[in-house]
Amino acid sequence: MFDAAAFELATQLLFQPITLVMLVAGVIIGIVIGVLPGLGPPVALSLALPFTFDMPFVPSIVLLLSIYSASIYGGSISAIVAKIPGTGAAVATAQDGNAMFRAGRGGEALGLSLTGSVIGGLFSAFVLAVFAPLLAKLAAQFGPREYLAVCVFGLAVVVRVAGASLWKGLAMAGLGLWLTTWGIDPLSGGERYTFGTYQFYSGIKLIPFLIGIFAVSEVFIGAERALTKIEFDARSLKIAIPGVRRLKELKGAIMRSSIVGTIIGIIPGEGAAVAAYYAYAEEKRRSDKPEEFGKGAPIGVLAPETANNATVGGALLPTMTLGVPGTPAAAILLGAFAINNLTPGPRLFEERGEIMYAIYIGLFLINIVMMVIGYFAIRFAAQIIRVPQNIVLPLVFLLSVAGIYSTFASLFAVGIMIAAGIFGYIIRKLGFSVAPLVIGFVLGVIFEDGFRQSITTSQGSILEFFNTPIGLTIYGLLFLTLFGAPLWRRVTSFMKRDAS
Amino acid sequence: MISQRNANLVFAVILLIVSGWMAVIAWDFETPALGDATLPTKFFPLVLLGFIVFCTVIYAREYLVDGQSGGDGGEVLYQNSKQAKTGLLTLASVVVSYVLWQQFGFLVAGLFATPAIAFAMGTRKIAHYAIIAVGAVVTYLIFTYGLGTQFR
Repeated sequence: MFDAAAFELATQLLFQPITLVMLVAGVIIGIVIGVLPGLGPPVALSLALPFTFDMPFVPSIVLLLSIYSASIYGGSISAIVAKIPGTGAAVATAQDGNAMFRAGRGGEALGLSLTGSVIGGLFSAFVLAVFAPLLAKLAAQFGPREYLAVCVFGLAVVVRVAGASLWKGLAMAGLGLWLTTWGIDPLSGGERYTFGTYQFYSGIKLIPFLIGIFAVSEVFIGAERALTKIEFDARSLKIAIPGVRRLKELKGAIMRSSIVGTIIGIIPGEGAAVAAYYAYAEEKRRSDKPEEFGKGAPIGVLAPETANNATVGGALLPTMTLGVPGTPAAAILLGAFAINNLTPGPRLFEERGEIMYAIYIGLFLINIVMMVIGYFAIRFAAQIIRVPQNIVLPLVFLLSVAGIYSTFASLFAVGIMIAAGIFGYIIRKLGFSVAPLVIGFVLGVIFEDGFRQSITTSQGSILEFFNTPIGLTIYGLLFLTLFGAPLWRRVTSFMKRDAS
Repeated sequence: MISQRNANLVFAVILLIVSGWMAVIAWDFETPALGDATLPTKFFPLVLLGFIVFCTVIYAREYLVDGQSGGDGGEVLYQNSKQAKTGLLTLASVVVSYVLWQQFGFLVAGLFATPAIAFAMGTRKIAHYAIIAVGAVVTYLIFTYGLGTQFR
């Protein structure tokens, strides 16, 4: 299983000066973008993608992974200091983090967020390194029915991220799936929604669509926010890293949040924000003093920050082994693979083992560097919150269009991005959740191919879809994910009632 | 100000009309002889459009009967006219900049879009406009000379 030659080659590639420079630059850029309100990991990655064109793969993926990890962490700084979550993943942190900051415990909150982020990141990197080769081996046996099962799993979680209205969420998921049917049908070669232009032959491209939905719609939404000057007490920006004794006290919460974050990262479509909420809710539920949550509970900072960074390694697991991205940001990372003519999947593990080792080791290094830079750069990073939005947003728009043009050399792709941005703005204004649309769009092609190929091989029998041990296991896991908790509650309450 | 209920109902009607139109287009999709072994090309688009219509009808019904969907009853699309003006002006700036790019190239579009968005946001400080304009030129230079992008 362990390939010593590939490992050695990976370390050589990682410790080249260019890769190390990219690692440090990525962490700094990630923290800066993460701190800026509204600009999360997908925006950060999409802005950085064009800069990786002329780079070898390892430095480019290290740059993108550093940006990915650090931008999730960076969001917590503005959440704690100014109660403005830099990213969706830091929303859960804002309440307790800012309450601690205002109570003069800002250093403790910042220290907990940094430590939690690093531990969560390291844990998920470890899980990735252990399980990715195993899953890749398993994935070699995947056929259409198994891929279909993975997609059904991802689509079923739409129920959880649908937002306040389930039906509005489901409509968006359907729309996301339908948009992937545009272009030449890969199975039959028939044209669908090409509107007489060859530009649509390959359908709506993923990256312009995602950048439009995330970055451009954020420019519109962000522009509507009133221009307010953000003030905070800069003297409280002294980070206090928790000691060993404190970490021992918190080890349960750290472990649980790391596991929650990694698992939610693995589930296709869900992301850091869901993981942070889930970990926060779980710790609040377990706490002896749940009333303290929201008023400055240290675990209210530690749990979501550990979980949201733990999604990074988790999200990379299905991305690297199956080519099914765990999060929208991971979907953009697939772009980096495509630029280098690499196709994620079992073959990549066999043929380019050094790349996989470089990603595992790279993730460990990124988290260690993030600890150091995060510790020393906190004062500077927090000042970035003060950069006015009316300077940031126009430049984000410009970088987005320039980046897309640079990537695709096509004004049509820029048009798709702007159209997706306008659509994203409209649905966000109307209270739709963007997540189901993105999940549908990311999984659409694999879902349709899997379904149609399964129908063909099973000669029209739907029951044959379940006649596969791997597929059946995935459906079983889906059942447990959706109904496990309510069933468990019902069983335990029944047993308690029976005992009494 | 427009209520969420009315705005969502208008959106639902648009979604239903567009879905119907797209279903008519999909009905004529042809499956080449090569694809005979699998489901017809039009199968998935039609099923998904049916699903979208189904969900849209249900949430539109919620707005019609209950006045809300997901607890947004009483909410408005824009808090005030200034917010609406800002959002729509930003949107217009972006669309115009795309047209300008097609006609005059990236630099002109960039030098229009960035200050226009800042203006839509209510920027008063000249220094901010100067910073944004410099940012636009720097972006152009980085992409053109740093990354070798040949802008149209």
